[in-house]
Amino acid sequence: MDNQLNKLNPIKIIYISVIVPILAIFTALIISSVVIILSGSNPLIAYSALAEGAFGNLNNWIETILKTTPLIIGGLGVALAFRGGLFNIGVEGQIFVGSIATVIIGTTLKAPAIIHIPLTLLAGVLAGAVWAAIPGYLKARFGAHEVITTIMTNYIATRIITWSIGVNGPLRKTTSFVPETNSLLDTARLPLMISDTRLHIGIVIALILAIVVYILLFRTTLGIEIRTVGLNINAAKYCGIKVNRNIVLIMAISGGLAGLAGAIQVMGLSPYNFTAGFNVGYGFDSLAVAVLGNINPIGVVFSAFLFGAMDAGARLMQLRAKVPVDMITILQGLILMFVAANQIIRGIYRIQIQDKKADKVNLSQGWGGGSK
Amino acid sequence: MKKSLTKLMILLAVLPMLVTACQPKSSETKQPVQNENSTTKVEEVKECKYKIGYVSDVGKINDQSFNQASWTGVEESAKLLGLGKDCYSFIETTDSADYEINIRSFVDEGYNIIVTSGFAMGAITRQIASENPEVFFIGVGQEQVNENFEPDPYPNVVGLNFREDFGGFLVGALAGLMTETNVVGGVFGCQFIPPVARYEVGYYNGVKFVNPDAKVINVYHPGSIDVCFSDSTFGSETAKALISEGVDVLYGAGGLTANGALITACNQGAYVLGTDMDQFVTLPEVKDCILSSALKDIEEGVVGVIGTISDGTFGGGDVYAPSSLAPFHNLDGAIPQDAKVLLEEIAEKLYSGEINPCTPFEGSNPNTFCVPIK
Repeated sequence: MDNQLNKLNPIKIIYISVIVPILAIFTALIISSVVIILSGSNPLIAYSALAEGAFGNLNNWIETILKTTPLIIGGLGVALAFRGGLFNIGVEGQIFVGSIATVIIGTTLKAPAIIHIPLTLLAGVLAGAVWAAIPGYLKARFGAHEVITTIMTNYIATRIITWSIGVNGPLRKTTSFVPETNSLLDTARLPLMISDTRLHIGIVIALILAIVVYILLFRTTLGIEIRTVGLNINAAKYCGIKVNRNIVLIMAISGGLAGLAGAIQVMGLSPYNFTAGFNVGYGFDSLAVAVLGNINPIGVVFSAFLFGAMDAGARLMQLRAKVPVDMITILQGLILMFVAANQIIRGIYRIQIQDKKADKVNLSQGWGGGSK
Repeated sequence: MKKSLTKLMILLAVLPMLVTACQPKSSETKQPVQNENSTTKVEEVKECKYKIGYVSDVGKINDQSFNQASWTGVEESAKLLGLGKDCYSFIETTDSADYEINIRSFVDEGYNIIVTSGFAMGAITRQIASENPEVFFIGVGQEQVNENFEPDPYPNVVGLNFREDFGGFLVGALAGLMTETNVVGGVFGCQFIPPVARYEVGYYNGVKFVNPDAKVINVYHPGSIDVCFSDSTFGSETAKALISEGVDVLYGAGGLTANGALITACNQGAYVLGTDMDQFVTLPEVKDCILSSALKDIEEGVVGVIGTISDGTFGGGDVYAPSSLAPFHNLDGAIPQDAKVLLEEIAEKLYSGEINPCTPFEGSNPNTFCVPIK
């Protein structure tokens, strides 16, 4: 896709990657406001509360950033797999597994923070990577479709974790009524960027990772291999790329990123443990974020920020306008729909692009592109 | 392109006018809500004698269960206190990492009564309450204990709890009296949710109390919090399995999971027992085979505690509302008179403390969540 984009002049690239998403958001807001009116609320109050809840003061900004962080990292994981022709639906489970590994290392290991923090992060990465490598291996070895297997590994991850923190579970905090693990030791917690707030350094890690993934994909040999496998598996084989090894590797990197997202959530947010209902949904939102971000690492940062702001602002929107939180899901769904099927938006606003090749912004490539 | 863009712009400009024109009420109140400086805040409080905020547990306020009952209680209270519709609101929690920020949002917005629902929010509710002594907090299903589980009441927090083991014990006794096969069963939500565990323990003990020889097969949903109360298929399949084991009275406690079990059991000719609300009313599918329900009136409880704020008797600490037996409705005639007498006796003994409905099983972990008998 990028090759196609590169043939266009810069203005047209901006058209596709900036104007279309902005118009998609705009249109989605208008359609959603009709839904809000129908549900008996005032969209003006709702949207102004949404904006204020996301950006109204320092604390709201911080909440937006905190919601954005796991979405960036998870979205990068999805985007990277996408580029390799793999549809990693398993991010949710990989986040869970990463969180739990983080808890195990973060609560048991005794080490100074300078060693403990990296090791705890690494535990999350490795757990996510191994968990995702399983479907990768199943695909490489037996041709089992990763969409199916990652959905299954999601279920398995959820169940294992529910058991482990449930009644009599091995990770259950024994002195708690609540299904939760012990809190991480002080040495395993991420430092705060501003003291007395919730803002930890996770966002810095996320932004650095976005650049790293970008370089990995577009400036390294491995990146070329990944993208070649994604674009045309037979051509990749013909070029002498070890396709099977690459599939496992892509899944492992993707899962490692997801696991890191889980690790940062556990290490950064009070009470620094894993509770029932924690981290739910980030994995699936990451899929949407990756698609909205044009499966480009830099685009992912912006789309994660958009989703993060909406998630954070939803609080005040419910409180002020009594609009259920589901409205945000509708809004996000509409935006996604208009971006994925951007012909709708181009039709409404009569945006014309001469180069017909650019129409092939092929987001559903992961389904068939990687299969044998 | 220009034409349609202008059209849209016009639409966008007209839309707000239309909206505000249709809702004169909200446009009046919009100003104070949107400005956050101190003078308008005073006006706000003048308008609203109380501002009541409700934070749900991870779930929805229309779940036909725990959250809905609490939120309905808030709405009822607002009506009783004559509060306008801008004086109470809710936040639905989507991630347990957000408990704190959700509660704090209400504090920041100047709300002075905050209801939080679910035991998982207990600790954070208490922490925020200690920092905001002028705000009243009501924790539904939250016992007011410190980290070592010793009672530790705060003056501005009431934990609204229920003796689910009472209700469980009573429906258990009824099941023990009504079974002909001497095998009874139960389908439950998450084991780690204290009220569910209390229902289950009470039910088991109740059956054994009247009928020591009866076999009790209780099954918890094995899943996590996001599914264990909403998995009606699991409930239905479990009910079928239990009936094939000879169960002829089935108790269900656990939202939609339990409802699925009750409907299936009813269709297969077993007697059923419901939970929380009078399920003869809320689940009409089983009205011809439901013996009774273990009642827990959360809505009434919330209204009651908010009432103590307005009449100045709010005391802080734990409130334990009893849970009781619902009317027998259609099956009134099927229950022998001496069984009814016995149930009344048991109820009296429960309330007087003569029977402890929640003796933990031997070897079970402390998380049977029994309330210590005083």
